[in-house]
Amino acid sequence: MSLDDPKGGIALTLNGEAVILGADPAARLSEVLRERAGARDVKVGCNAGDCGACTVLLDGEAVCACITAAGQVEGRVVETQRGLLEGPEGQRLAAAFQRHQAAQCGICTPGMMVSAAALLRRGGALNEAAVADALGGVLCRCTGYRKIIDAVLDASRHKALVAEGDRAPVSEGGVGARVERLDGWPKVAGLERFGDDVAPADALSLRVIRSPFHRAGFTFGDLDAYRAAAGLELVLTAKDVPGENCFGVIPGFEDQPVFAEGETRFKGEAVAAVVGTPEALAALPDFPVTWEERPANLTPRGAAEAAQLHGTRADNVMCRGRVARGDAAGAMPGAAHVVSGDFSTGFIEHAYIEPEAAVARRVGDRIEVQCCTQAPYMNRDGLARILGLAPGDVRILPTATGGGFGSKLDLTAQPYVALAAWRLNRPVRIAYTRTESIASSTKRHPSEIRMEIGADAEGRLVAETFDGVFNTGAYASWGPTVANRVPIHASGPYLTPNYRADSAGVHTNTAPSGAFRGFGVPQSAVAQEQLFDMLAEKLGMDRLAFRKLNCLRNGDPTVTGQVFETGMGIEACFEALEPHWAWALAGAEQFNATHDTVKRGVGVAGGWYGCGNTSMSNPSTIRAGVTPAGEVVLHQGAMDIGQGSNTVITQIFAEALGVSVSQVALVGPDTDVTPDAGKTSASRQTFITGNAARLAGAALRAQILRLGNVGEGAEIGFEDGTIVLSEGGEKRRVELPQDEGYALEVTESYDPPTLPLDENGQGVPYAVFGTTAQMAELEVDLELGTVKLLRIVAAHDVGRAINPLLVEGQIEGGVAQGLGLALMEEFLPGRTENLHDYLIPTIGDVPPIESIIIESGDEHGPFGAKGLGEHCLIPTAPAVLNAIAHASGARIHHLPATPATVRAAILAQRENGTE
Amino acid sequence: MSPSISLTINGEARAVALDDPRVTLLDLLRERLDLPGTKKGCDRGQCGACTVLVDGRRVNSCLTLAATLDGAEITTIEGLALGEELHPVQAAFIENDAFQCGYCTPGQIMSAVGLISEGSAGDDPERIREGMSGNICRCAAYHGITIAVQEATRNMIRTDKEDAA
Repeated sequence: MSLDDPKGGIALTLNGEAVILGADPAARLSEVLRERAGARDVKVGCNAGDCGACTVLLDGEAVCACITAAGQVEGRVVETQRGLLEGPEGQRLAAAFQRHQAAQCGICTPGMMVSAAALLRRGGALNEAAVADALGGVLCRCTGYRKIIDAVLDASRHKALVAEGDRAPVSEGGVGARVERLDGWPKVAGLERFGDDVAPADALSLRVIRSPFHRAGFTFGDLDAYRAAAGLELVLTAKDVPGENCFGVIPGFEDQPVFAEGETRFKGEAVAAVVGTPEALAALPDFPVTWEERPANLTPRGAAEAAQLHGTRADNVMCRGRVARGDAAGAMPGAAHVVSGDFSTGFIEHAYIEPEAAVARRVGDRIEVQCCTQAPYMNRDGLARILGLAPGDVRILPTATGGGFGSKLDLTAQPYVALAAWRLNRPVRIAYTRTESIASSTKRHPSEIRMEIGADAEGRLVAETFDGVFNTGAYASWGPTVANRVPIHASGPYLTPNYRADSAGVHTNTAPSGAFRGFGVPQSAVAQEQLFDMLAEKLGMDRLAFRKLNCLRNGDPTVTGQVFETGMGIEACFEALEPHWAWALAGAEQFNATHDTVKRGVGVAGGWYGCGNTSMSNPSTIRAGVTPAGEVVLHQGAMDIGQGSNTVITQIFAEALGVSVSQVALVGPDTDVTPDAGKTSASRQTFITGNAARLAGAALRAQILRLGNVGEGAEIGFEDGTIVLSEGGEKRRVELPQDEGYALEVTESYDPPTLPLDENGQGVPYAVFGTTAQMAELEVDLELGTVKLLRIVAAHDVGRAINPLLVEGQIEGGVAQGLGLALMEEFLPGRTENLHDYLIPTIGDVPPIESIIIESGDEHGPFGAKGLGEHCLIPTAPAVLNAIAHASGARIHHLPATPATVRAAILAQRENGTE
Repeated sequence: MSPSISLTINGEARAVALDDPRVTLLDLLRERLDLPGTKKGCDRGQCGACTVLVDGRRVNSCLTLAATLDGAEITTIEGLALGEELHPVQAAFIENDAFQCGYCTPGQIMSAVGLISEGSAGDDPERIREGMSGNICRCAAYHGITIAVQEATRNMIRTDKEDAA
């Protein structure tokens, strides 16, 4: 058919059913399927054919629906994830994805499964290369792809385990069991609903008008006339904010306007928003704004001379951090061996596959916002301030969140839709475009680090100095957290008697840097762990043995003077690597003896991370109850953004209560009915919310046992409104009170014990540190500068693995992000605002990853568990860089280690003969 | 008075009068010598469409002043085939559908001929891609180009061996 000739609709077969869709033949197929055919299992991640989330089958071939014109499918057969579930391939894949936990957040899962289904239909035996080829066009930011490969290979060999409807086949097991994700089935069945999947059909659309310059003044034309001419419902600017035109996340550092006033401070900053029907927005004329571009400063180097961004912050320094122990300057000259170096890293984009999205509706004098988020209560309080409402008049109803990694802690889309819905009393929705998401969301802080490390003749650390400057962008966001956290962590998990670390967060005219998995620690590890290799080389010591000699043990003070008497597991992590290390070194030597152009290298690095806020209260609260009918309900407020807290927190609660996981019904985050479990960040949910869940489970158990007047060891069961208590072969039945609401109810909180830091950073910043050691094997092509990863071995002390299956998922996903940091990722403001210029690892970039779980226990953790999320990527980049140096002799000081950078380093090393 | 240079172009010795000393080899070939097979894509050394061989070496003809080439031997796409018999690289491009629109193809083929005679890439696809990275193809026929160069390399080595034997 002709694209110009719709003839009343596009006729196609969608998931086996003949349908006619009224749509512009030039519209994106993805949009038409989602908005006209209700196929919300087709996800939109980029609208540019880069991410593959929208992959559907067109006459059996996988295509990106976002770059397929709707008119092209006239008379053809389209299949989506939901439809494939009716057939054998889809069923086998769904079962295998769930069995292997190949879906974390789930946003890429439809695209992955659809691509895999086409592969399975082709038949024949599969191998990893064939799977990687078939799925190479679909990006995943959570899993590191390994479990996806396993699942597809498994699906090619095994028959389906068919689940019914939207119910997951629940696997059983308490703490320590490989329980499949309790919320996994909707993700593999195309039923999961993310930020842009829940808007009502009559919702108005909103678009944000953003600055095209790094810094600019601006004036509006006649906005009323524009609104009328464009057929819009509303135009919003700073003067339409009823409360404070300001938000932020750290008390005292709330400095970001919802709409800029007078001047924009970064490219992508909002100045206005327009609200109307989708048709009106599609035909939107140019917005009446006149820009006056002003000189901008993009790096900390020019910050002192640049225009001051915020009134009280002289030289554009947002804040500084410091930890000092012993006398580093005095001790350094006495060291037998000293190494030093400058290292830098660039902006890193979170690149979750789900762009920010939200829908708001006014309900009487309250506002309700459904959105993807990592921090419902922080969002609620921030919105209340902007809207001039009491926090209780704002309700946050989180949707599934398609990846976050730190950036969905901050308010993004929510204020705009909330302001519009409040004014118009109609539902209003927005989904960020990929460009908008990358341009305006927070980033990992670029770092410029100078570090010096001295050791004695035996290789024991004597002194370290660290000076780190972090580009915090135009607004504070989580910058103060990075500035404070880095000096505490820059030593790594090693005994460092004399230590001085200074940090500064500096404002520039770029997108704000905020929270990103590791909060600055991955950047400092790049410097410290590379210098450790240089020091070991000077000492003539094995690099792993050098680290093991110096690592913290129980009873040693950290650089803040904190002493862990139990649970310091870093030595066990290094020991777990030892056999792999020896084998890999021998293999590399053998390989290199017979190869001249391609050389093999092995690298190792350690890492640690303190779980929860730094020396600050950050409690979690868990509510649970038993209904009069005997159903156990857990109000689980820890946002599950793919990391698995819905499952892990339930396992902990069930274990403490003494029931099976399948007996617990979950009520998810909702600020009206589920208490605040804090934000999903800083590897705090398993540890802190887990503890609240453990307390809640134990408290509910105590109530039940008291009711039945039975002893501690009694078994708890429920039957038709009665509690059944079994003790010593005897059964006792207790009628549940038939009250309104819960028959029994508990609410328990946990706040980790920390102590403030003094002016030298001495104190107890965290109750728990998790530790890790990772090893990378790779090959460097000396002529091309290319790096081919062969294997990663990752040893992690998680205290106690509540769910080893999900632990592996965290490790593999974190490693993949670490590989991106090391080898390919760098956001350049104004330039890499899409997923073809900003590269993240694809399925072909992630080598086999071997996870080794160490369980050293923890004094405070629930059943001994520690956090894990951040730890996974901290040692990855330095391990890779150390392996590159081992293979090629070239040391990479500025990331990412792209082929051009590696090649230049190799040439420079040949020229100078030294590092 | 205009300078004059002597060139061997596609095996034929020619005396060429340069009416403008600033003329590039590309413009000379296309506008004055009736050899339009060599393409102009950017005229600034970015696209590689104008690649020719000068004394066997690959050059961007748009960045080469004709006046500097007195006595040089030039090979362009028009000079590769021996009558009806295609050069092995040309044959491999057709065999492997290593083009779509064809505009970059003369440059790709000349670059491939140069690369193969340099002998540094062998049939390693990564090295071929690196060696051909100065030639841009917007139709993205790179996959076919890489295979074509691999195949041509193997064929030419085999032919050389047969010739030697």
